[in-house]
Amino acid sequence: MPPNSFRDELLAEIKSLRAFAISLSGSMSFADDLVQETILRAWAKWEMFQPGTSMRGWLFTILRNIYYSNYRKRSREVQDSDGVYASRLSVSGDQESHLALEDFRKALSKLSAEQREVLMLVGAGGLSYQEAATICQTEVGTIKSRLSRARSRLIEIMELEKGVFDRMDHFPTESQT
Amino acid sequence: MQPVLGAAVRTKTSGMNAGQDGEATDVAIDPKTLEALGEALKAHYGDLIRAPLPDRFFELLARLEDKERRLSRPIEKRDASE
Repeated sequence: MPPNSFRDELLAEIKSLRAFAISLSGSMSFADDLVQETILRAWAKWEMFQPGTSMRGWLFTILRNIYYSNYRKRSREVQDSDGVYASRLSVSGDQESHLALEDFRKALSKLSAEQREVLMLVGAGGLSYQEAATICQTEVGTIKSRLSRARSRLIEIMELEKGVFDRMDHFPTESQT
Repeated sequence: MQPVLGAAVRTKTSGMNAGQDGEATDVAIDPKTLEALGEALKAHYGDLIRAPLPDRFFELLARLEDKERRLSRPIEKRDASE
């Protein structure tokens, strides 16, 4: 049986795991199934986890593998690109910030899963290039070029959708430190 | 939050000559735009992180632990020291 420390660490990462799953799949319902499967697999393979290494990294790798092998095709058909997940999730901020976030999410949903994941891991999640490369089972150089392309593409999409950048001033700012 | 964006901007300026054949790079991205993008990503992620977790995950973990406990009993019999 996994030790309590394993259970506690796992529990502490579920929120970020879910945030990653939503970003990757673009769908709330898929994300939760994805997280559930990840928890099951992590639990079954707990002995594979090396204490002292990053639980988050380990879980993200598992989730990502499940996503690319089982979910990718399905979730492409059922993307919440109409902002369903945004309206269900947003618990903070005013109307303007809702709109700004929703626009941003629509733009994100137009990227490939590889681009979204690198933006989430490095751009939002604050992981290093090396950590992101380990999770994505690739080279640091690949992560850098994916990130660069993802940024350019995202900006391109947002420039087409006029006004997205103007509304960015209204983003909720609680996350700022 | 770590200064991810700052690091990204530095990476870009050192890679000025990459992608001359029209391949997408963000060499031309103005730092302010890049910063706005970083803030947007953080706002998006922060919003996801703040969302309350559905009960199903806690229930799942409780079920898993319960199952382990029940399964581990017969094994303990084999090991008299336990």
